[in-house]
Amino acid sequence: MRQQILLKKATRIEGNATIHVEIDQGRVQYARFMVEDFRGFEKLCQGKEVAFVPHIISRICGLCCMAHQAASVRAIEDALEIDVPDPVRKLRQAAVYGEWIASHALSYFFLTQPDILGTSEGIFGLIQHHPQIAETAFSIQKAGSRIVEMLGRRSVHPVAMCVGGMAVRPSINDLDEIVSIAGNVAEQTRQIIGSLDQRTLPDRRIAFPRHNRVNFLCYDENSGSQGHLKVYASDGARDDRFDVSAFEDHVSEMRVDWSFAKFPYLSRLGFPDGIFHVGPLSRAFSEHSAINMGELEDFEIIQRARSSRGIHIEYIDVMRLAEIYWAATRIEELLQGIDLSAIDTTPVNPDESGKGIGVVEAPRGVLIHSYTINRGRIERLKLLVATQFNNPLINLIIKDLAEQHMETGGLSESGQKAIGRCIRLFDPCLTCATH
Amino acid sequence: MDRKYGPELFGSTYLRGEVVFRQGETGDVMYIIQSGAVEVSQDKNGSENVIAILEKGDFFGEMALLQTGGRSATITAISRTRLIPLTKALLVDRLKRDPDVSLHLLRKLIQRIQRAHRRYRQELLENEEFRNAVAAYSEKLLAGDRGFSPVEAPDALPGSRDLTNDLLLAEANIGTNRCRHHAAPGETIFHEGETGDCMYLILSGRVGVSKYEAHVTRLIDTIGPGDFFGEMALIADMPRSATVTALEATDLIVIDKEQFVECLENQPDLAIAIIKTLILRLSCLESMLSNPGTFRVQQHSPWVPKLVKRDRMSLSIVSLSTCAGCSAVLLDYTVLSKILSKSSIDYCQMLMDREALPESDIILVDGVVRLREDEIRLNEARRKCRYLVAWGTCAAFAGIPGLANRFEVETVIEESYGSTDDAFSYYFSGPSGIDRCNVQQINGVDLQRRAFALDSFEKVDYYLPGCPPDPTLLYDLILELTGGQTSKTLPVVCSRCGRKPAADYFEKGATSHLPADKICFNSLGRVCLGFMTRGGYESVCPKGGAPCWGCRGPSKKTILSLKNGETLEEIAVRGIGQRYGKDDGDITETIRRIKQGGHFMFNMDSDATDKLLRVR
Repeated sequence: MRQQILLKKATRIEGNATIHVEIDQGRVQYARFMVEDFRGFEKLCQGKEVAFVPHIISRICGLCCMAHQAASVRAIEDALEIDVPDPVRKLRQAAVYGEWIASHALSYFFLTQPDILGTSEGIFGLIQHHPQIAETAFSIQKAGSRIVEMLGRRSVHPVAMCVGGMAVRPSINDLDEIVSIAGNVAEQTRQIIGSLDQRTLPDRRIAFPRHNRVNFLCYDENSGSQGHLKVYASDGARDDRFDVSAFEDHVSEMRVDWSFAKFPYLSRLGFPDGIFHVGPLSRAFSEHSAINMGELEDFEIIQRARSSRGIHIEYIDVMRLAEIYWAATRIEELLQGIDLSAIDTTPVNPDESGKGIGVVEAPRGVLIHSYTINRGRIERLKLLVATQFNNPLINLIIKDLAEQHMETGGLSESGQKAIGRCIRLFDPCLTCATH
Repeated sequence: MDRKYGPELFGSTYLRGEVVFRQGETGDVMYIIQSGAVEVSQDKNGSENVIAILEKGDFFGEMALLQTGGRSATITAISRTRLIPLTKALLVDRLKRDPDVSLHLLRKLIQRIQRAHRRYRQELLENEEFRNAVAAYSEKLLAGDRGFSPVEAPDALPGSRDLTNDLLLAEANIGTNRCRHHAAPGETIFHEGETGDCMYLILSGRVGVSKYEAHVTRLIDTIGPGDFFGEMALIADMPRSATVTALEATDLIVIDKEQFVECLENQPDLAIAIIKTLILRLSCLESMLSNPGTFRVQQHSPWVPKLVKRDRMSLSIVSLSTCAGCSAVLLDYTVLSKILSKSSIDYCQMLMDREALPESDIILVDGVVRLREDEIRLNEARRKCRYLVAWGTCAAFAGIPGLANRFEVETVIEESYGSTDDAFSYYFSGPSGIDRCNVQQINGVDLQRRAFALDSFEKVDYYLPGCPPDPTLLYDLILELTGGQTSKTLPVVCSRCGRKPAADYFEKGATSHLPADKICFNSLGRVCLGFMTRGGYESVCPKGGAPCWGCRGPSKKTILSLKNGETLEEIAVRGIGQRYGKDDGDITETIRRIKQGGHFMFNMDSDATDKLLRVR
């Protein structure tokens, strides 16, 4: 078998990466997801005042900016023991869910659907050949970013979130509008899920590795006072539970010289047994999640997705739709009866010291910000960002797929497509993962 | 062959002292000197002034071919001379059929122009009155006073106006990217004395021609659409005779020698157009020399080209090390559909599968150059586009990732990767084995020493800063580039903010008549740089409760202050002082603290002073 080297730029994902597959003497020698993005946020935030940190941190990613801001203010408030009133918490969470809607819509319609519909020009092909779908795509994405805009005053890099509260209070009319938008989104998404009922998996081979352990990580905010980070095994059994403050100590990371993204794993289990998975497929394991909602139970596709938890990856885009629906209904719940007057808009610029952690379920998975603050300035911060957790798994699955799709001539065409599709299904946000 | 137009084989004889024609007479025949010599003289203040002697092979009287005014000089034979007359029609016919004729004619014309320039220079040095008149004239040019008496549009050649118009259109349409140049306002296209090997046709915009003479650089001419310049170097192989600077955003077609010769052969109308214009130029110079006090005749181009309105531009989006916010803002369908109506998006790695970057009219590049990879991608983008646009604050000024520049790159890598295990040593020393991060190890995809804005590596045509940038800026730019107006500079952020300064806030305190959320941040004791920041995006930050940190870059006025030697910090202290009621020392200290502890404009890698005219 001759040697074949495949070096392809990964497209229709957020961030820059190259897929490198090398086959020699009948074996897959290399299968690498080489991530080419880096800016160094962990260093550049050092010495910055906490009042400005959420705004600097927001620039890690333009798609997940709200999630980063929310995690950031939580970490600062945790470190400096600043209390925030309940309405503020709810509004922040609602804004994060708004971002879920926008981000999942982008991922489902703009990035992964073109594979199913066969347009390589992505969204521009959809506009031309499937205008109905394009219209729905834009409307749901716009709905999500409008919600973030109304709560944060700008959809990309919001300005209204700040330590201790919000800089600008939304009005009652704003909240009504948000609820109405969320309602529409829920309705639209329900219909789409309904129309998917007859769909079968295009490629069953994109699956979790059978012979490797994967630890499904998600964040349950309702458990305990600060919430817990929970780890599930692929059969659904709850494997472990961590306090938010302790989690960092249980995670180790590996690095390689061909990628800027790091490879985290559970220290206790070592590498590669300790590798993680985060995101919709992981959240599917917890009881309070989209896939377990009563309202969606009747859909056959949801039942199939639920039963393929931990096994198949292809159902992840159905999960995303379900999560859009879930986020929309959660927004409506959160905004019920909020007391806007309790929201303080006085700015704080504390100069105390402390150490704290903020955890948020971002659209693509668990996001952890861990800050050490010295007299009101960041001494040190550590970020563990959703796609970073998925990085080792992506590499592993690419290797598996390459091995499965090997032919006499090297990697088959369908293998290349499968690898590309697999990466897209993970919806990696590489600028987040490398920060 | 039409015998009526065939040239005479032997010219008419003129005896010594005979006048061929006088200044001011009408005439539409040009003469070639077959043998003998003539003198060219002009009437100046009553006395006859000999300007030149022309001999065998020279020609004269060509200006009459293009103008309907009288002869500009008197020609007298100074020996027994044979002159071959040429009518317009004959000349044009010859020009069309034989490119060598055109070249020859052009060379001769250029020699003439050179001679006129020499006389011009001499006059400047020797003649005080002349100097003053020229200075006054330059000033008027600069002031934009176009009080010229327009010359009758010389349509010496029937249908020539349309012919050359279509020619230009055709040229513009087939012109590949290499043959075009877009000059930003203020850009010097070439300097006097440089070697040059191409000429330029102006499609739109205006350039100024200046010469260094008698120890002063003077603006001597402006050239507008439909006209050209730089032909002297091309045809006569000589250094540039003047400095040409774009006075406004100007679209040019560049023609090098090879293309020029090809042009002459395939498109003789172009040659004719050039000849006509050179003749005009010469006549202007001549009239100015004889009568410096008056305005010269307007150099009215023989045609006014239809502005080549491109219907659509091809647009590609390239992302370097970025947060993708600059791409995320483009997903707003209201703006995106407007952009798609005027352009087609041919490449965007996040949204499309196209692997190779195509040649495009506009390439939008966002993000900083942080990796080696980024530099390579930027180089490719520059090669493959006509307009390179720095999209967003990272690309324009290095933005937030630029905050890492106060640290050595080794410490940045150390911070991110220092506590990770090297995959190799993991298996030899176990999970707790610490191989402290070795910078060299991240070597497959190297890091630059700093986060750079785009123009540290490549020339940027336009800057659209903002973190994130307002997508309508892109639409406005596309409109501008497809033949619309240059976008106006937006006023500072304060203009849309809605908050009002109250310098007495701390005295009045709670009794102030405005609620705190309607008062300028600076008056409240917080730092907001809105007053020195270029506007755009409807001042969304201060309206949303966050003071402006200057992501759009310094305003026009601020840049001018920077050029005068002030620093950003000084400008900030001054502006805040006007709005804040307390002591000055306080503010300076606050600015210093903010510069260290925040992400404000002071930290940006901005050499904004020379980007003034190209920021939108």
